[in-house]
Amino acid sequence: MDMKLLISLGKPLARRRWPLAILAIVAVGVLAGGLLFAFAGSPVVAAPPAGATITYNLFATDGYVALPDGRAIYNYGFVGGRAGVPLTYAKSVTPSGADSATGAYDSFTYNGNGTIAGGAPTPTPGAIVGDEAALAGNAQWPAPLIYATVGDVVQIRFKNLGVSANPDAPNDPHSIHLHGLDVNAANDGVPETSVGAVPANAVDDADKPIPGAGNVIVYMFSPQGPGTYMYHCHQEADIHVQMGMYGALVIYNKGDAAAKTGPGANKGGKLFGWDYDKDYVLLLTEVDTRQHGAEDGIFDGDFEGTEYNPVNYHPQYWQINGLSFPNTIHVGLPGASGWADWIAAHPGYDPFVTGSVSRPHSPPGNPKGDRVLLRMINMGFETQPMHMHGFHAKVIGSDQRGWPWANTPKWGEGQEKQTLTIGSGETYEWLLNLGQQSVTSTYPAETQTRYDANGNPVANTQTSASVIDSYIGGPVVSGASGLPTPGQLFPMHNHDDYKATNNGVYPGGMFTIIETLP
Amino acid sequence: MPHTLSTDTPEGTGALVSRAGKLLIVVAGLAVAVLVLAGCGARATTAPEADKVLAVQSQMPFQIMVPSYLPKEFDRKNVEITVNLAGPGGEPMVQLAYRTKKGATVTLQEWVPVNPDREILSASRPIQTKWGRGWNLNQGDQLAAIWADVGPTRVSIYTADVATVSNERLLAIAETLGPASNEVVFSFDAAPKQIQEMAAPPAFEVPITAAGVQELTLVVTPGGYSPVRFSVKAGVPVKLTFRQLGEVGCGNELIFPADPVNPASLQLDSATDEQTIEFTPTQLGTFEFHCSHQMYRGLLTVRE
Repeated sequence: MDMKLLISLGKPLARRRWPLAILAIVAVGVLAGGLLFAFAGSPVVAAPPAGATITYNLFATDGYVALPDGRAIYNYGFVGGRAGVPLTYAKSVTPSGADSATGAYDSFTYNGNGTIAGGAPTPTPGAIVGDEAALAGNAQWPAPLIYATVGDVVQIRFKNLGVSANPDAPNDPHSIHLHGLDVNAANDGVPETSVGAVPANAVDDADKPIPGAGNVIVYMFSPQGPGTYMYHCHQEADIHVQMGMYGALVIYNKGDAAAKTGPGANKGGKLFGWDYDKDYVLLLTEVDTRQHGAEDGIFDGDFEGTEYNPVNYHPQYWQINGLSFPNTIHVGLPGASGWADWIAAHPGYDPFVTGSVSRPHSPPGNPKGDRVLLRMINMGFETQPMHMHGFHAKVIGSDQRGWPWANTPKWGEGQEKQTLTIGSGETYEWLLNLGQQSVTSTYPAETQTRYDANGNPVANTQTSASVIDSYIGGPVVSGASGLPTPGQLFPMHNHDDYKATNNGVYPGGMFTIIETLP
Repeated sequence: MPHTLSTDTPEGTGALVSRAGKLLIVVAGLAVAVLVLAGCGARATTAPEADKVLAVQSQMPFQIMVPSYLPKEFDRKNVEITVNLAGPGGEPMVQLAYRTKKGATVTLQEWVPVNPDREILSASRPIQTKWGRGWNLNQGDQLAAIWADVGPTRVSIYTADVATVSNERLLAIAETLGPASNEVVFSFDAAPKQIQEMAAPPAFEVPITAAGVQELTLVVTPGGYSPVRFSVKAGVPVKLTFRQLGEVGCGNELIFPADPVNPASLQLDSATDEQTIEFTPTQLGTFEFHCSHQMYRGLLTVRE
């Protein structure tokens, strides 16, 4: 640039201060803007954090778990949780009174929970050390809930601690099969077609470790689609799944409030185009005590001695999230703070469905009431018809795919079911609008279905006559504690009603309640 | 002398505007030139994240490395560094996450493994890196990951955005790791890498005993056969003992090509049973042995 030219340009301008000033400001502005754009890097609006790494530390081991009627069984399972998140785990019960005819124990001693403030320990390659020893023999029922967001990279560090609650039980290898996540075959967690299952931390008869024992295996996957999945062991799946090696796995969309907490935390999100205000996991399973007794070595068998043939599968207990009624509505769990203990050790697995009938949504014309997403998962060996009283709910998707004919963003009547038949291995997303009902209903003699904070029927506010004590509810429901506030109670249960029993005692089994809140 | 805004200059309004216009063009031209040069990214600079790394270095017991090469979409300056995480064996671990404006992430995790042979990336295959051994996990368009041993430090580099960072680009990133203070960073595409698998270890040669017999115990475990590949010398008798260790399901039946034309079947009756086969191999070559469903497999080589 010719300085003379610049100067000659500048001179006449200098005589006019204001135009020069304006020009200078504009020029500096353009230059500054250009420099800022070139060197600033990220734009003013930051992209949402994507591709976060979510890490779980999981261990496979065995344990003893309570049945709803005071008996107990031997189980296999996983224990652990998210790295760095304080861990509460349920300790195995101590069983007594082995019954060789059924494979179960007649009674047990409850041992409460254990905690690890720093979270599930990272597995240590080799022998069992440190906090791992505390977890050995305390398999969870069901397995810890895994949740993440689309696009995250999930790492599961996995170590097989072997049998500990019963050291004489088969010291089996275990694997993790990510059901529905469509990873490639090598990562599929099937011992016969993927890399081998992880052997137990055991030795052979020459005291040499079995090849692979004590290894820490790091599974990595990146979920591509939101929805309800599960994971389970696939080593001898006919045995290990029944023995308890299954858990729910939930993948959220970016921006879902529930993505920060996991399911069952009263937080919402959006799935397959539908908004929901809260979500629940309802994981359906059964228990045939004879299979558990066979692995435990206490079952005498009816055909072949201690052999249990899975083709003779016939369960005696049916469960939602590892609980049978009335445990499903927080009643009757062992220990002084039964429900509080249980939910602390099994976060995300509350099966008692509640919601507001009046929660407003925008725009104001939309129906009021909580939209509750029920994540139905069948990890048992039977097809289950699940029936809800009082409502129809919309099936918005299944097996991690949206169902387009339900997918119009208006509450119409498409794809609404009150009884949903779920096969083993299937998942369904069932969207329930609690606004279909009011908080209370009116009964003959003008009583209302209101219970006070102690679970007792309240007096009729219209006539001030006292409510017939034994009228409604019965001992099970009126004894329900922890009800948020009084409201209508609608059973949601397996419609094969013999499965709504605990070994034949009704009500029980695969039975929970939907409650309306104000 | 009061200054007033006036347009009656000796040159006239038009001339003034044309001079102002020229100055504006000059300034705009300079800005454009700066923009072009900056956007080009062709300049090599020191690592923009060096300061961030050095600020936390004292909290980690090993030197934190950064890659010299990263695709230009990734924002180095805003790298997210998290120290004192726990690695797969519980070791101190540092994590660096680089993001693009569109939300793609490439993540590096670095730790010094306490037991390098027992921390395993599931379903990865061993590869060669310029530092030595590594592992590559390839899940199509869902996930790509490389573990590389750089001296005592193991680095895990992975992304779910395989379209931006393929397996080969991950390897290129891995091979340019170095200390943050020294790194000169660049983002032009290096020559495309090829992922080289590690050569498989040589087949285990069955030793010949003093009695002149090649004796081997072949064990089937949940992880497969051990040894999975072995070789024997032709013309020398072989005594093979087959047993199982742990739960192997149908793996307790071995279809073994002692005679390649007519393979033998060895069936274990219990978890402690052993079955032995004695034969003298004559036909040279490599033959497969497997369980009855061909899920567990191994290779027998008969050499001269």
